[in-house]
Amino acid sequence: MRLKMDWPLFLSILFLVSVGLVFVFSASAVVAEARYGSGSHFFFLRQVIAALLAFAVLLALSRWDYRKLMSERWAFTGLGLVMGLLAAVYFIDREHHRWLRLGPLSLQPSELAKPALILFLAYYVTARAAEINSGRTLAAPALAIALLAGMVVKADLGTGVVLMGIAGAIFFVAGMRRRYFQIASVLMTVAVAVAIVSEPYRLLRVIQKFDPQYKILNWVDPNGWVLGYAMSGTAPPDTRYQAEQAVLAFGAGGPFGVGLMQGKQKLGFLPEAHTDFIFAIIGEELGLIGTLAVLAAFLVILLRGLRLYWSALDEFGRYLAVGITVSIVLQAFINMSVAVDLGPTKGIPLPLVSYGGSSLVSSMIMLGLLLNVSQRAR
Amino acid sequence: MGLFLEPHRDRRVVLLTRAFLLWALILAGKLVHLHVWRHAELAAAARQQHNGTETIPAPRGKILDRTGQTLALSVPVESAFADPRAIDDIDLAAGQLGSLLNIDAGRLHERLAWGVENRKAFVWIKRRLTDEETARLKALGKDWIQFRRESRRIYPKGPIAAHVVGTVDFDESGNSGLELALEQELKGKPGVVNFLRDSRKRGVEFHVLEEPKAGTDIWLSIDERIQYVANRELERAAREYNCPTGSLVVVNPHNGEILAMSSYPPFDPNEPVRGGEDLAARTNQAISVPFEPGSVFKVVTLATALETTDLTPESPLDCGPGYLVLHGRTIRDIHAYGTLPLQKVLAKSSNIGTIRAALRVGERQLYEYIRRFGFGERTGVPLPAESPGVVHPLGRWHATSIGSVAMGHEVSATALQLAMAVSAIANGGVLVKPRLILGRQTADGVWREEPPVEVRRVLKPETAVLMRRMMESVVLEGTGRQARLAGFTAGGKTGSAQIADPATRRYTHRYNASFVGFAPVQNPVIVVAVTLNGAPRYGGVVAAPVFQRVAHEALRILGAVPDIPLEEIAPWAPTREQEEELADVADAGTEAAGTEEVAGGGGAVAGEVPGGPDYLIGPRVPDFRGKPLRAVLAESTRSGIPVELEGNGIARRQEPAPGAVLAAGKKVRIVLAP
Repeated sequence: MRLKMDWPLFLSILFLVSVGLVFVFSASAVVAEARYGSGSHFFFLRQVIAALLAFAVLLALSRWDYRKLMSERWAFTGLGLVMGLLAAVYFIDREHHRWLRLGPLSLQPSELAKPALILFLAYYVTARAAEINSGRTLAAPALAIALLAGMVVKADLGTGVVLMGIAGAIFFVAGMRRRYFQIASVLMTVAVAVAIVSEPYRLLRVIQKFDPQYKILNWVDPNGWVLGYAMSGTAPPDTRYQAEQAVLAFGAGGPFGVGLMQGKQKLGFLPEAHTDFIFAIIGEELGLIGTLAVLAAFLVILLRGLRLYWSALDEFGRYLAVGITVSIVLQAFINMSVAVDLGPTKGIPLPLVSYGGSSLVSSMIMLGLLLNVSQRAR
Repeated sequence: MGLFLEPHRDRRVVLLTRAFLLWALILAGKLVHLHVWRHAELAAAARQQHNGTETIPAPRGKILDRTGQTLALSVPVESAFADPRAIDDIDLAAGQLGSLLNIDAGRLHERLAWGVENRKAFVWIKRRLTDEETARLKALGKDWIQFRRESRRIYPKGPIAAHVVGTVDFDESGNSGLELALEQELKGKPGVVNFLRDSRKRGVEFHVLEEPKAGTDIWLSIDERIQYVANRELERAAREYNCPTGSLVVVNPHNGEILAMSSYPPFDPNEPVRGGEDLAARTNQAISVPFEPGSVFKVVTLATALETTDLTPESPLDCGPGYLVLHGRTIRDIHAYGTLPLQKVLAKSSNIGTIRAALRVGERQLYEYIRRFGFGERTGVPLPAESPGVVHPLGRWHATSIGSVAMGHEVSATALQLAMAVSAIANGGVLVKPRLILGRQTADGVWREEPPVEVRRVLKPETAVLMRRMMESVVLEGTGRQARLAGFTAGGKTGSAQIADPATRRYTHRYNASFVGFAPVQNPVIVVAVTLNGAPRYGGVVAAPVFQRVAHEALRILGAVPDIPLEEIAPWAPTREQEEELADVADAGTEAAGTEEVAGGGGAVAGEVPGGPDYLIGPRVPDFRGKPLRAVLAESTRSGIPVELEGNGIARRQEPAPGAVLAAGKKVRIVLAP
């Protein structure tokens, strides 16, 4: 069978990774210089290496027939491996529970949870498609998701939300009953609420997003107990600062931007300029043109990915496509929404663009499979 | 492979797609809103955050003596400040910095904690670090420690001419002496730099809008070598005779150039003012603290007599039995001289002879000549806190005032005023304005000379010649014998004014011991005025030797040609009886019945100080109450009134009360409370 390259999808990926490299260079130069000495391209060089590796992974996974992955072995090995790593990282990285370090390499297992979960759910839903709404069918993946999300949430709430989104989308598309969704959404709300309340700084971020003057809060809680708890966190108390600085960056960029490398917000004003807030730096330097282009590229991924629901060769490919597309686009949209101050600040990178090897490789694993499914589609 | 699509599952994918598209639409809308709609507003806010202007300090001008020795200069130093928000552990940081920089860790901790609490990005750690401290701090490698270049004022000669040069405060603005008076010229004009800054307010790109303009260098008439001798000899005499204060001025009588101006106690301008420090040391006694000159003033009286009456140095004056009754007040001489020629009246410092001459002159003319000699007005030396001294207007003279004034009481003058008055005699009769600044050199190298200024002619040249000869006889055969110079003729006059105690309203046995003289007699090169306040002995004993030593060195330094054989002058240690021959106490006593008492030994008369506060000569005390410490110190510096501080905060009580007269050598005691 002759493979037909999905050029719009591939070019979108290529565009986003290229933009990512340029802006990691632009945004990180100042931080790299401050941390690693003058003229340092520390972050950029690491990102270039990660990008080369990621493209190799992308091309390899797009060639190899994805249907071979449709097996219990792959589904459970991936999931088990990631869970093992998550457990390990929880104890090894005592500070953030996030990174496994091995010499110059560092791996973020929570990033790998996404492809592993998608693979598992695609397999499972395909295998049990007929009895999708039976309690027995749902118990196992629900347990797996809960376990996975639970392990991730402590370190990385954003990824936890994305994992829930992936699972929700796959089950939704697979035709799960609305009632289950209602139950699930209640459970999710409770879980998210617990997750937010368990970390004072998260609570503070939510409060500051919806009630920046503490008017409602002071009415509900005149003694300030809640606020006192929220303020007790270690994160900087005015997380509004990041959002304000991001908004300044977009505004300063205007329609056409201040020009590549000319942005000022990366000079320490916008924290995480090369990771979570890279979209704001794109907005400052390339303006509306740049941000809309990035948004458009993700829309291409969205449409090309969900199109496979109709055109994929088999059920497995269809769920794989839905899971992967939702994973990438949901994460991207959450990141952008945070950057333009539509939602409370979450530590979540912009897929393919933000600095971070684990994130890039994980995204490219998924997109390689998506390309794979697409190339074999009708 | 056919794929069966269930209709409800189809709908769900479409729904999912639409949900994402709607989300994308909202995102796009928000992006347009931010990028286009709010562009102008947000871009302005961003610019404000990114751009800053700062001033570049201009190097402060130097102060040099006439030979080019640097008396004050500024060198660049680093000052360290912290961004307290970026410190992980304030306790640790304060402790570490405290021991590293030898500063109080507790207080540093307090300030850092304050910075954290108030979200300040700037708290001074220590200003004006030494090179070693800077290196140590930089070696710590903490990025919350930052440095700012400042400059430190250095006075390489320490106490030499310190009272003239003055001092600067912590921001390097002058707060006393020439540093204060010439602040505008010395400080230069700071430059302006526009810069792009990062979030820690560190500049990233700089664009200089205006270059800083360095301050003007000031060249003084002071000769550092003569100044050194003056300081040394004044201090030696003050210590020997246990005098709390004293002053010494050396001037060139022809052009008024001040070659040296010393004030005792000395201070080191490199040391900042400490709490509880006696600020009298920082007062320039030579210009700020007038005193009753006593017999030295007889020079003015007798010069006026020669100028305005037909008296000559040989004219006999009846000094009678040693006392004179003037409008019911008895004035005494120490010895009964009988009839003395005018010249001997000066040489022996006869009170009665002087008063007889003054009576010939008359009140009106005596007053007029006192003013013409420059008393009662500021000399115009460019130093802050100059006192004009006190000369009461004629309308306030009592019947016996002419007697007191003729002997140098009921008037007060500064050492500089006395030096300038005697300069008028030394230079042939012209009062010149003291010249402290020879010229200024701006940063561009332009030299502007300060010309000498003649104020007015006071005496005819012949009168000046006669006066000089009379003053020479004071040194040769009168009360000023201790002022004789080897190789040079010299003239002068001693003075020992009793100091009035405002508490008992009596004159004490402490004197303002003075000597004002010149050398050589024919064409004087220098005039020296010395006064030691609170001396237990006469001016001829305490002050004349200081003149002798300072004039000797000064003439040598200036290369003056000796006009008499260089014979050695045997050191003379007079016995108490011999000392009495040098007695020149102006009798300030009154005839107030029953209160007169003859003091043992000295033969001086201690009497009650007459009547109202007019007789107490000194500046009026301003109202310090209600002022904060800074304002009190500023007022004290401005007015030259020394203060003694107790406590902290706002001045609550003061003694003496506002409006009272402050006697020479006294301080205003101020109690502060928060």
